[in-house]
Amino acid sequence: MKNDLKIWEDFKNGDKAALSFIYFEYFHSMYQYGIKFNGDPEFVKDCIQEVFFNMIRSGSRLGSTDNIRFYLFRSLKNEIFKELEKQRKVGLAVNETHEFQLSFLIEEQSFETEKDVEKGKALIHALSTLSPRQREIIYLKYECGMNYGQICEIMDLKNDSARKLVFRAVQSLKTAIEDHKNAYLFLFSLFQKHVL
Amino acid sequence: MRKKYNIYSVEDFTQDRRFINWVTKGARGPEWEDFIRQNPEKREDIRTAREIIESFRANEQTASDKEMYSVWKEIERFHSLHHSAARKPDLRMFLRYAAVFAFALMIGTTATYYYFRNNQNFADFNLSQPNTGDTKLILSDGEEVLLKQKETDLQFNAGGDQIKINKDSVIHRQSEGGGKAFAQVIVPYGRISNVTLSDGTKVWLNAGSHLVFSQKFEGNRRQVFLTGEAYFDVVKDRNKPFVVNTKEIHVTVLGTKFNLRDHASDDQLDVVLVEGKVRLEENDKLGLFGDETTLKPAQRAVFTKKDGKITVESDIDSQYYTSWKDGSLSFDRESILNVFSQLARYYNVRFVTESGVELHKKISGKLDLKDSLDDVMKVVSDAAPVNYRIENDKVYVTGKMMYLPMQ
Repeated sequence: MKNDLKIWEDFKNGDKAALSFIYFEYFHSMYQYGIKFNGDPEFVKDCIQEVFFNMIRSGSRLGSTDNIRFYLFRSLKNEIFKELEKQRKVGLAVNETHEFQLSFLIEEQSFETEKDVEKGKALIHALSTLSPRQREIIYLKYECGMNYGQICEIMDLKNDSARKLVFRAVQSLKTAIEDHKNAYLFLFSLFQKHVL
Repeated sequence: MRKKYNIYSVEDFTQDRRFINWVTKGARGPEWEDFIRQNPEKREDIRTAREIIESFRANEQTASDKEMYSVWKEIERFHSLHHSAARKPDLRMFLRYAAVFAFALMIGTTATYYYFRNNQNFADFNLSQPNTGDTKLILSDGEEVLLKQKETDLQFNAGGDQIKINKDSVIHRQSEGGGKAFAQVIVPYGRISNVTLSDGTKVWLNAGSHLVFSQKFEGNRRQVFLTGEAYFDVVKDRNKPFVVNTKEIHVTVLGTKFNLRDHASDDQLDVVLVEGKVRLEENDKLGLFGDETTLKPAQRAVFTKKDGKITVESDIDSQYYTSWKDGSLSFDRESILNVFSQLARYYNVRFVTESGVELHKKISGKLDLKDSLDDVMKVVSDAAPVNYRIENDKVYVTGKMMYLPMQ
């Protein structure tokens, strides 16, 4: 993304318009990613703020990037775990887990016919068996549109183990769908228009 | 080009970037539909792969604009400390980015509004209140389409790259600049238009209105910009709030039906909620006070432009405010002045009234806007103590002579 390169360079040179652009473009997606590690909105907002403070502090010493979103996600995740580690050291938040909590829209979807209800249940069940790592990878891949290279760097994974995690998730959903061949769910309004 | 897809399995499809973009963003819809038509044996696998990807959709928790701005204020201050010679962001600086993102000039200022919403305001957009001429559709690549009919119907498909005009002719247009590309519909006096946006939301645009919107909504919210009057039937998407921005306020909804009327020449604007829930926020207060008003069905919020006061009326009959979209105009104790100003927009005429006419007198009734202006004025003159004369595009109104009994 060559636009990212240019905006990033301007930001490094202290351009406030570039900073503002980056912040408003990515605040919501950073928040949505961060809140899945720790459900406390104040904590997540503090971490986002710290990511930007760090960027401003480093200024021209920052490396270059052609993918700002990837840079921000990785920095936010590092910041969250650094903060959590600090809290752990002073005896706060000892027992909390900070696994990736992702819930799915389909869990709130209502279905019309009995067949659809059955199929919906089977899909929700298949989703419920996904591990936190699988959830994170699925989120980064399908919701955020990241490629395996970026995902592996953020999650500290090897390429083939990342692919395997996704592949297994896909297969367990596929089984659920194939067991209910006769029901065709129309999931979410956005997609209803593509009737196949 | 898509040859390799012939041999794809369900799993292969779920890994393919183009396929994912089609399912999640509607990208290149027509190409995929063609592919399925030509390869019917792949239909089942493609449907399964779609269902898998759709099942992965996250149920997101979003932060409010107020939260976003309060963090921004800290970051902005920190930035100023580090750059003592910090420049104030202005329009010109932003326009450089607008150019980078290949926005059209005017659209660049639209985006400015969003990014610098706490510094800039709607006035930067230059959304003009249209007067005369034909209804105009301006696509994100700058192409203009003139529509001669009194009533027009425009439908954007889910990919935002096909526009069906009057349920008949279809324009194919790759949306420039992806989700950041804006299209516009300008409806002059004397016309109305129905627009279906790419998310399925329906917008009825009344005479004298101007709507700016993304040909395809990307990002965290569905933003549109309006001056004039529109009735919105918003498709529910809890992860992507729908935001209508006007000069003074913005209205945030998840999925509802409501009417918003904000003519530049009026002293007040109003929002009438038919179904669901909407939130009104004044633009200037963003990040400062965060005052907001939430409306319930059958409530009407009136925003007075002079003092920024919002009052809410309950138990209203919303039909009086929305009947225009079905081609009629209902009044319940409305001033003659208001009735005239609405008729002036519909029929694209000007009213010239004699000083003796009691313009603040209230009248009630229903007018059929499919009738000619002359027929409509006949009805008005029965209900109100006025006489009228139509000459070209002017309606001369005089007070009715009172019957004086002869002595």
